[in-house]
Amino acid sequence: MLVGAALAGCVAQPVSQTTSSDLAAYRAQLEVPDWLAAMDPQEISDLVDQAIETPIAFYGRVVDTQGEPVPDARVSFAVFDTRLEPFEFPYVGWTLLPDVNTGRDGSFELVDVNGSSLYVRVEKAGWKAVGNSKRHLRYSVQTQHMNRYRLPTEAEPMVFELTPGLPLEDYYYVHSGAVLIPRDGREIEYRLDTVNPYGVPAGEGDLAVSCDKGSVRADGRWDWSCTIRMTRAGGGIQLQREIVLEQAPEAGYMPAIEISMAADDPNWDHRADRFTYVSLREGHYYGHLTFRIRTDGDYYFDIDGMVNVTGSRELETLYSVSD
Amino acid sequence: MLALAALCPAVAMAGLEVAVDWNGDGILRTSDHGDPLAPLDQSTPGKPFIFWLNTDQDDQDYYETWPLDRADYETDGIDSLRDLEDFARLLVRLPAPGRQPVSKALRFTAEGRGGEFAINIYHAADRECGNVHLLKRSAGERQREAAWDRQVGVIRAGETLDIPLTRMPPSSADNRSHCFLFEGRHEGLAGVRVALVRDGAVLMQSEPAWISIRHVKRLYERVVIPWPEGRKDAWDYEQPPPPLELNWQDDPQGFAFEPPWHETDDVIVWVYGWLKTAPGMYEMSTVHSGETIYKRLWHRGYRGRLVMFHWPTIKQKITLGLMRSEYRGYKSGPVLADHVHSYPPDKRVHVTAHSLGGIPLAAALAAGMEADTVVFQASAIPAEALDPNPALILPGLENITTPIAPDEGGYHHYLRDSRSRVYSLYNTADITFFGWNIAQKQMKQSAPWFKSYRWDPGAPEGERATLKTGLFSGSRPVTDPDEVRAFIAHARTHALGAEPRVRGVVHEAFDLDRAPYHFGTGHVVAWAWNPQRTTAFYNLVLDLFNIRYNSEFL
Repeated sequence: MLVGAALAGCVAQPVSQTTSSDLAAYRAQLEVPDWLAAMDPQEISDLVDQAIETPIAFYGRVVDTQGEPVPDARVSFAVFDTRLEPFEFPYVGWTLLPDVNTGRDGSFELVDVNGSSLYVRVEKAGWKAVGNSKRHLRYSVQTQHMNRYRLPTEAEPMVFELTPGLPLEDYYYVHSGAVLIPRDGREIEYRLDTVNPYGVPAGEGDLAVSCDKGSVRADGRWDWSCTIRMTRAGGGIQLQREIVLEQAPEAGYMPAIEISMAADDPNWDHRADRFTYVSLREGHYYGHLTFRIRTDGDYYFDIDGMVNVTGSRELETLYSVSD
Repeated sequence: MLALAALCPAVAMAGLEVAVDWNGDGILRTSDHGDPLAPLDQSTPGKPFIFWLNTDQDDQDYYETWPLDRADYETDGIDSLRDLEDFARLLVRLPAPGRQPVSKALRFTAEGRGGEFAINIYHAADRECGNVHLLKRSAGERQREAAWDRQVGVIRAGETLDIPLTRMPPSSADNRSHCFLFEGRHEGLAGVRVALVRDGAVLMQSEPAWISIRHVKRLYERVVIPWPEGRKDAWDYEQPPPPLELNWQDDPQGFAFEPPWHETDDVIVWVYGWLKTAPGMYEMSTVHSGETIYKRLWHRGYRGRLVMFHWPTIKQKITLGLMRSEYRGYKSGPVLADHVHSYPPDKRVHVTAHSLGGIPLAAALAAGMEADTVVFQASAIPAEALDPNPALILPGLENITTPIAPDEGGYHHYLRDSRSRVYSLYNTADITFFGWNIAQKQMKQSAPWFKSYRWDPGAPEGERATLKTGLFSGSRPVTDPDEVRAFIAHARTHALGAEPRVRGVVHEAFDLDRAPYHFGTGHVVAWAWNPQRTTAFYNLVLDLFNIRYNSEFL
């Protein structure tokens, strides 16, 4: 009784909400729309306050490629229901709601929550998505026109399609660990299908990383710039705009990307994480890789990700297979 | 053996090699084995491969046995998945086919250079000599199957150990590598050689791998802040408590720290959380958490110094102990800062604190501590202490009667800035914060024996906080903000360790309940869980400190 009273009056078990690292990653994939930039701050503030009070009701159903229900699929929700404080772009934070599982008929629902928009993700161990298993639905009146999907109703639930996942031989995971970067600006080549913390001889890698670092200023900052170059013919890389990935884009790959930080940048940091898609081997293999660049202390990069070696663009989330 | 090597130097150069992961990069590298770009593992008597005695008792699926009945090196077997972190790898690389003499046994010898030196060796289940037994549960379990879980023998200084080739398991895919795991049995330094023998005659012999076995307590440092004898609890003083003088000191526990030759410029100061106060508990935590943390960082490739920093936490009556520990934590902060500042300027000092250790860590930062990086882990300090964002204040707690301003003993914005970069590792599922919340709500302002603290916001400044010193006695003002914070102030927010949204002085926050960490409701899983489940966590810690780490696949 004492415990119950204490909690009722004090602090209930918290829900997970927008984290600073989530927010940084989310911001990295957003651009400030022109119309938003042109708005009066007070107007944005009022808009956000109204938008996050919009009632949300979501109905979904998960089926396989034959249209048969898929029970016990896990559904995650993030509802954009929080005004960010300090109030800055993207102005709205989110709350991760408890996951639900689909029922025997593959259906699930979310009702009685308020928010400006809802992010829904469906997954099941050993299965992969057909099409997009992540949907972002805007419920506030001001943003509904941006929806790519029709808002579902109880009578017409939103359908997600899953199919049995990639066989193990179809892909490999990448965990490079920390690979020291030459301090003299030379490239280090890295091969993704093995662990090679000292790199591989020139010409044998899938990609090459080189970095330049300026001298440390009085304020403790420095300019730094790193280039990630795909070394195989036809290979390419592009920064990705989705946090969670299930299908690599078909086009848009560049031979190299640069990750740089000017010491004068107000958001300067000596570390940077970047999410990328890559194409390898004459453009026949696809993967997603997270690059972590560290330019303070030990000077290194780290790559996490996966590569599909079948030519398919289907990908799976890292760590979806655990031992 | 020395005489043989001296007389027949060509014999020793014939391509039989023995290797240990001397440089900690995760790769066993000989002249023709391992990543060709990796440096050779070349130990010398002055720069040996250093490993520890297997003195703990890892015979459970979860955590360890205490008090110890025996040391793990005394058993003929690998005692658990956890015990595997007390083993190092040893590779015997045979010459190329055509250069191998027809032999009947592998012979290990150890040329002692001090101490009794002894190691127990086992065949490794992984034919490629990888670290996989520490990375995957299934591989660890395989190593514990009957075929691999029996000691092959003991390599002792001055003795030989012959292993008939007929008893050797299949070697690597190229038929040239034999892989072993070993644990420390006796301290000492020795050059371990392997030879191919037939009918007692040495046909071919390797150069030695120099191995130093030491008690694990010699390999990391322990520092404690003793609580002054006779010092009473704050509530036992009828006048404001006299000044408290705390200092840190080394705590060798019979094994003085011996910096290894390979020590880098990095220092990680790891601050303990709340510990139960009972005979032997601190010593137990030294083994269970301190030594486990050392071992896990070591296996990730860390070769800097680890300092386990113990402050005078107290845990007798559960919740009152929390408040008393909070008080001691705030008082310990400047001492922690002093310790951090005691390192030479060429050292990169990183500080991390677990749970209630967040109190002394925050207090150290408030006292101006300058460290390279600071990491709060599942920290039991109110989030509002580090971030004044009003959105963090929980519904219903906005207007509770409690000190707010930090100079009056409130939590709010206690840490306004930091000279060190600050990260927070949080876990909203961590069950510990359930109790913390109750203590914050119910136990603050309590004290034993009819004593109680009180906060009266309407009283004149300096008289708002009081302690009623007994049933029939009077009261005294509480003017020490640390005493107010510890015994009177209520948290209005979640704990930092349960709050994802915190910013303020926090540069970035990481969710330990998400992939790849999956801490769930656990509070001490970083050292309670088996090593196969914590690799990603220790890599994260090293990454936040900008210290290189080995791949989770290596």
